Amino acid sequence: MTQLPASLLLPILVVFVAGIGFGIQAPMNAALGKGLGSGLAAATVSFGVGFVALLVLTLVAGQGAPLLGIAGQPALLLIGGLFGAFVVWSMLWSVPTIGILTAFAALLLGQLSAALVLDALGAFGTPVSPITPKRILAVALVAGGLVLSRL
Amino acid sequence: MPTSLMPLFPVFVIVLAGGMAALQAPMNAALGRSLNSATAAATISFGVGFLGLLVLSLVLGDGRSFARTTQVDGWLLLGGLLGAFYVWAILWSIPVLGIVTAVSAMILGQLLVALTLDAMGPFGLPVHEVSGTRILAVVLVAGGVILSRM
Repeated sequence: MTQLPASLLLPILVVFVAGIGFGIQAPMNAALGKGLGSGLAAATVSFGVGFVALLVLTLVAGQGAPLLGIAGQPALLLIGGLFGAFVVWSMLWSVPTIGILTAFAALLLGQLSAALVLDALGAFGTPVSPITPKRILAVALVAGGLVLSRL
Repeated sequence: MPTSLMPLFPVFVIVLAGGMAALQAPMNAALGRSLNSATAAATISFGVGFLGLLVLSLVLGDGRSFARTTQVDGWLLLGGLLGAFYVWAILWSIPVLGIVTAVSAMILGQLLVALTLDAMGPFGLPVHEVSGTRILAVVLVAGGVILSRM
């Protein structure tokens, strides 16, 4: 068995914990939505808190100056955040009906299918990677998992 | 209609959201390259999402719900921190670990907690017990996601 370099253990743990956090976020936001009586308000609060946290992190890391570059950016690149907002809202809205696992399986299916097409097009300056049987199999596995999560 | 097929609409909405997430990733990456800071790009992305949701909440008449933030359990307000941590962890780990390892660790954390929380039914959510089929579902989804990055 190959030994994993010890220096990689901490980053792997951090990312694993981040994945756990993302899993907890959906039901937490759903509970917040129930408490506030509005899923949209819950998503807004969630994004506001995340925004403040990232802003503080950016400033602490000395990356405040690049923030000012926002003025010169094409508007199209700025609306990415709206897609993220839809993701967070749709997760908190659906989790009470379909459960967390099915919600994540569906999210990943959409993500992988769209990435397949975007990568083939080389959208937004990413390197072109063609649609291969391996990547189609990857999407099929996730789709199979989605169906199984409902059985 | 069998109960397992009933929630097709929410599943469809989430698949659509996944497509948007896929669209967002290269957009944020391009913004990060242009600003020369991935963290600044993530911050702007969250700021835009926040403003979009705020405007939509007010327009749809949900503005009064914000007053109830003082009445709910305070820690429920911190879900956004988990989202920010997730975004930061992706940005920080991919150059260190490479995309396959980073995505594998993340997807395992995500799916294992989804399986566990579903079995517990936290915050009054319905309980979905751990079963052989659900474990197989996790294996297939994780396998597919990792395969797509290899």
